[in-house]
Amino acid sequence: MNAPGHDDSIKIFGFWLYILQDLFLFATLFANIAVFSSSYDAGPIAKDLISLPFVMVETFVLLFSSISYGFSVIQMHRNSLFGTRIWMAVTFLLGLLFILMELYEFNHLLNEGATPQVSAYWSAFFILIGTHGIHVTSGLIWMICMFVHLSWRGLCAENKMRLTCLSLFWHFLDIIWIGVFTVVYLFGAL
Amino acid sequence: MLRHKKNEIGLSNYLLGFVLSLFLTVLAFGSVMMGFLEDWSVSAKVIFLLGLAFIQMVVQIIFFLHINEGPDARWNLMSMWLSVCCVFIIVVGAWLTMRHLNYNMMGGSGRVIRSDVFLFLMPSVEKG
Repeated sequence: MNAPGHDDSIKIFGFWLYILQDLFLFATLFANIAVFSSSYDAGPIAKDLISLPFVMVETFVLLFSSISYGFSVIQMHRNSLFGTRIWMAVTFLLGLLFILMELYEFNHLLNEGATPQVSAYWSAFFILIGTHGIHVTSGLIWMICMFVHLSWRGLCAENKMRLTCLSLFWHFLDIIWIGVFTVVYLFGAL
Repeated sequence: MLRHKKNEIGLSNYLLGFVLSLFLTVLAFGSVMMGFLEDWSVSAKVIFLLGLAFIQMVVQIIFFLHINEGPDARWNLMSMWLSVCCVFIIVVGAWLTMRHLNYNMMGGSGRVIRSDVFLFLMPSVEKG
């Protein structure tokens, strides 16, 4: 961080605490799906429905959006408003693509009969991936707000602090997704 | 000038983290999709994939999050360690406790006993 004032550093620490308590939420959901990992009852089985290449593309989309946000932060440290905006727009589009792919996958699963009420496994599946999807969506809304903030005040100290918090949030979601694709998709397809 | 140099290091940090993440993701998906792990035991597969995920999480925390910078870096790190310990207790504790939940039940009690379904929670079933 480019020598933020101590106030901003404390605000970033506060936001970091929020992220850590969000981590607790995801930890309980991960424990949930681990416990119900084979509770299919009479419903369909994940192995028959999961398409690993599709999930791999999803993973790459989110990873690319993570690095493009990193480029945006670098442009911010160089005080380039234009560069910050361009890379954030790239991040936004990739994040949107990720959400659309996830909705497409949900639609496919629901059509195949894998609805949340069918078995404990699918309840745990939809609640974990749905929670992650809602977080990504709120990150996208936050980015729209940042576009408005940037067009009003440019790269002022406050906006830099906000962009830093958003970068923590966005990278955190990518880190959670590593756990999701390992525990849900790769274990499910084994 | 000094500031400029620091930013360049930031860029190479991000790129290094990105390349490592890409490699670890391809390795994880590739080993499952290409069937490299076919002959492995279930616990070996789980440990391998969890290991890859853990390494990639550490890589992204180091190269992307940059929480060890700024005046409050120590607080960021200490709160992170506390949370990691709690998360470990939640996940592993729940898993260990619930693992033998259905041990003495007749039948699958809702679980599908199918040999081709991955049952990393049911060691008793695996052994037959």
